[in-house]
Amino acid sequence: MKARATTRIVIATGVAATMVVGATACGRGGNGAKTADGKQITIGLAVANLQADFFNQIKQSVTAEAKKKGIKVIVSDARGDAATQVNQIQDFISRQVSAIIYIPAGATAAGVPVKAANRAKIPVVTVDRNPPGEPGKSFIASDSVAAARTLGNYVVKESGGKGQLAILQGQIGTTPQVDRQKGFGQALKNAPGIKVVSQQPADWAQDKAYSVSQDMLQAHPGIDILWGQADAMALGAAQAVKASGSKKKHLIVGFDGDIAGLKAVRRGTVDATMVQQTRKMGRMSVNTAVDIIKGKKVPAQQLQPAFLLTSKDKKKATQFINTHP
Amino acid sequence: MSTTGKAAPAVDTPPSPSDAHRARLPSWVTGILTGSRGPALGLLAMCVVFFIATPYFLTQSNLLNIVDQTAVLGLLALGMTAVIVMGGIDLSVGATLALATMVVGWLSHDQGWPLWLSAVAAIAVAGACGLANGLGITYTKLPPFIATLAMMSIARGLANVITDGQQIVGFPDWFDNLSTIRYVGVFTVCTAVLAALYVAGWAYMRYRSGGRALYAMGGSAEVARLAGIKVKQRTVLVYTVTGLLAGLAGVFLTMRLDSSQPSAGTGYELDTIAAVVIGGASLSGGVGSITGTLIGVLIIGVLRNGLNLLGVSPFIQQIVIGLVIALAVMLDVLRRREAR
Amino acid sequence: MRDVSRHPAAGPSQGLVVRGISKRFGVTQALDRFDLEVRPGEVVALLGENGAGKSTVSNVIAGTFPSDTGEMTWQGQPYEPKTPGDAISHGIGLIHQEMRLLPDLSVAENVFLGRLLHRGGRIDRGEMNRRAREQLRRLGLDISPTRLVRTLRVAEQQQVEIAKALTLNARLLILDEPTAALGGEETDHLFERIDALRDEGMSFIYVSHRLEEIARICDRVVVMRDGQLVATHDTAQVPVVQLVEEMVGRSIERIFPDTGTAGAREVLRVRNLTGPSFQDVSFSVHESEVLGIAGIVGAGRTELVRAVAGVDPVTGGTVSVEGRALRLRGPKEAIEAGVVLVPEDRKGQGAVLDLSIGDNVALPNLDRISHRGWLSPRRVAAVAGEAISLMTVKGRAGQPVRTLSGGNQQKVVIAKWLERKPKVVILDEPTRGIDVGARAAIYEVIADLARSGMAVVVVSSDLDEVLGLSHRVLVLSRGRQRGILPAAEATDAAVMRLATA
Repeated sequence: MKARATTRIVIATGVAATMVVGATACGRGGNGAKTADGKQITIGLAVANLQADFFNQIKQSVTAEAKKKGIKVIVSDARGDAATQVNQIQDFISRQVSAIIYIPAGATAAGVPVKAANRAKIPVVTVDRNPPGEPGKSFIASDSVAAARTLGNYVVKESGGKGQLAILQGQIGTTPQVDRQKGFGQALKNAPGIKVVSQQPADWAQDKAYSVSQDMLQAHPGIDILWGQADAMALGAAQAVKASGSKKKHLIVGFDGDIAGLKAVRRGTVDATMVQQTRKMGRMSVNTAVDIIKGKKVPAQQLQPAFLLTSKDKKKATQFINTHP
Repeated sequence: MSTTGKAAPAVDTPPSPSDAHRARLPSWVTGILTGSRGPALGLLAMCVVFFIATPYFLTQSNLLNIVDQTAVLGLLALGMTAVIVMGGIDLSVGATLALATMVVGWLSHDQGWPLWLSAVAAIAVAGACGLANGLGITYTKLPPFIATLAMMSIARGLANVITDGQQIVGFPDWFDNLSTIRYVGVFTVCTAVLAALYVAGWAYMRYRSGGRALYAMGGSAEVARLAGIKVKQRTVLVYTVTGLLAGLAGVFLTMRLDSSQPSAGTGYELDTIAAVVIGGASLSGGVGSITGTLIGVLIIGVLRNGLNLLGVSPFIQQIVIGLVIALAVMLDVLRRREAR
Repeated sequence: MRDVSRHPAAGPSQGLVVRGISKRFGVTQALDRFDLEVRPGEVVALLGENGAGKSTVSNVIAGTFPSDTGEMTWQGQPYEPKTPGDAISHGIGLIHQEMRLLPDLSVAENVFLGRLLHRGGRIDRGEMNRRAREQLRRLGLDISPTRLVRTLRVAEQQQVEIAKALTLNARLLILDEPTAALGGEETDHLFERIDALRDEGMSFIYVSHRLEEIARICDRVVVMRDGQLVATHDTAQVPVVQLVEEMVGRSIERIFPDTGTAGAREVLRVRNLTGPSFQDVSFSVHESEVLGIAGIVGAGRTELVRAVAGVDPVTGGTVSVEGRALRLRGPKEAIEAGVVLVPEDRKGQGAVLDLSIGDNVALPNLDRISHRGWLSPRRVAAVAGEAISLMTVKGRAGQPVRTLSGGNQQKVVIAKWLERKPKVVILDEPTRGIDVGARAAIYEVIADLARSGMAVVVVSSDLDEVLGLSHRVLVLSRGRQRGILPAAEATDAAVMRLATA
């Protein structure tokens, strides 16, 4: 019985201690920015999945920008699960944050969190994806369709309008996947010589892209163009091409311009990528949130262009790696 | 038996577990908490810490949020408790849930079925998954881990096949409202159903001969069989009910998210098992209770909620949750060692 | 040097000398100033009831845990093993009652477990196999060292354990209930090996419940009770009754109670029953009658009674109770017809050890004590309380069965069936692993069952038990029924002649 009591104490203090450590590790709040009624501004940042570099870049940029402005940021990570994200946003609402920056998880953005926040009169800024039925006060994203079209045109030019194309798709049905597919397709319409011989989902993941493209190269040895709808998948494809031992020159392109992607372009492993302005979007989302809190009017959509970066332009790649746009 | 009248040496007859400490609480409290006092105290300690650490924790709206947030996990854990007590395991609950949410969306949107009928059909499909688990385990003698692992993959695949991986968004308001509008200021329809099912499950496991038989099966399936219990039938029944509950959880999740997503519920099986184990159940079977599981579910819910309220970094949250699981199971092991 | 003064004639002993060791666990004194001496080339029997302290002595000698007080010398040197490994390096090994082999490793790997032989950084399987085979040969065992332990019979596994000890150059082996799982022939073989090793100068401490074996294999007998030394006999030729009295500390008047006279009405009738390990068995049991089933290990006794109780499927024949034929599709039908089985493996099949006495007693009666499927804890407690007092189980209804002694566990297993008022009770090895002193109580229970009018079937490897309890004895050999002897004709010799047919 005594041992039982001891274990209980151990468990209770263990839990308490870890929570306190956790709390202090993240409780460094600023004391600058105030709302109209003089309260400290706190922003809840609901990230879809911190394992993805793209989202992590935005998170880092949001926290850095907020720190500069003396705003407190609370971060939650849904690890890709929409239900978890709904819970986390409910917790933000309980916590009475001043505004929420919402990067939706799951295939299409769920409107439920926005609805709940609206009920609690907390403004929501959506980033990357926007719930169709319940849009946020302002939506910040890259113009994916236009960017994918730019990339498509580059591919058409580089290949001379001829070739066999393999596409590694992101998670099917997600907004970025659909938009990128659409823009790229528009560019290909002008080049009937390029045939899409295979396209399969690799769910944004490098390892899955590696094995999927290995199978594609087995089935279609004629493939000479590979497009990963995200840089991670382009890297997987590049690895598969290398492993195949083929002497032929393959044109490999990615999308996103995350750090690993930029380095790959500088090395020449990947021929080109579209660089999204993740840092800028992070900063913008903070500023937009502050503007809404202060009662300023904000545009409903703020679409950002993405830059084409090719392996010829190593200087720009280095510049992007040092300070991401 | 006159020989046992002597002072018995320790090796063969350790002192029996003391009942003395039970005397302090009213009997109905101890009755409900049998075997789950440790987890209950852990939950209490956690609530006190959060109460001190953040003013937002102990508010009515937040506490009700926690209940809403744990409804899906709670349903899955209810079935899992019976499975684990019986000495089994079910890894397919998360995927079954996903299949159910896709069936609701697909039948109501693409096939033009009435929504209520789609929901019933979804629950039935999930029950069929559970039935398949049960039959696989009893008649083809697959180990539960393998049978349900296979079902996890099959159900996830089916969930994607139905709509080719696309998600379905937008349900009628009355449907969402079942999970958002609170009656009597407390229960949504979802949480009321959950509460009713927990009371029913608790009564079943404690006071129904069927429930008691599960404990015997978990302790020793052969003893139970020789005692005339239809072990195979019960096993099939428990997996089927677990499937049905996962289906209901899928319908609840669809209401809550106002959408059907084939990737829903990924990893939920492990959360569910964690909740049941934190609640004092033993993965080797024969031990566990519905009250314990309820507390386990609440521990996970309160922990996530409280850490979010405190603004603890998501990465640190994962560490904390891992530590809590390890501590809870350590407690379980120590308790067991004492009982030897 | 104290032992020299106590045994002036012996000089410093070359064997094991244990002097005044005590060991306390919590409130219980498990060992109380215990003395023991084992000389080279000698087999010493260590006798005592469960809980007398035999395991504690074995564990102290084998280094599992230290004693609180006292001292030991081994081969003339002070001996204080800190760990089992320490004891083994001194040449003292303990062969446990339950096998401690890894079933999915080969024989050789088991023999060299924890000290696999290496050559050039790789495991040297050739050498391991060669040396394992050598030791197995020394034990007269011709099994391939590359076979998986899982595929060996229990007796062979035990030999592998002994072989393992031999490769460690053991000079003293403690054998804990070595024959518990062996048949007659296998036991004979084991004894031959012990004899041979003794002639090579090895010593043994032989822990057993089977008193008849002691006379066959041991040189001296040490009896302990309540952690103390009770008696030392310099010969093994001691009357069994005397040993039993020393073990239990009182005189045993009569081990087998009067089972009354058998009735005339036939209750159980088995006709031409055939299953995978028995063929064409026919017998009947009357009310108030005890039918014993005898035979050597592997004769099909357990399989036969399991089939009668509906536990295992049969391929032919019928079982009827009071003239009505049973459908042998599962235990439930047999139970409902009034046929219940107290199985051989109490821990694996008789009781759920982690559940309480109350839950165990309630288990086969759930359909009877529930009202429309609802159980009242009060009703369960009442039924359990009744069973506990009826069977004089030493325990409370809420106590886990695991915490009971073997005899009390067995009473719980029997008690759980009595609530159903069965017509036929089948007991398979009812006293296996139960103290000599506690056995009498089980016999008393069996006699009570018969006297109350039930038909009772008793299966036992202990021939005395079968003969002492039964009105008639059915003898099986290699799956076939060799005859049914009335009590008057059922002598050791007559039964053994049929059993070995």
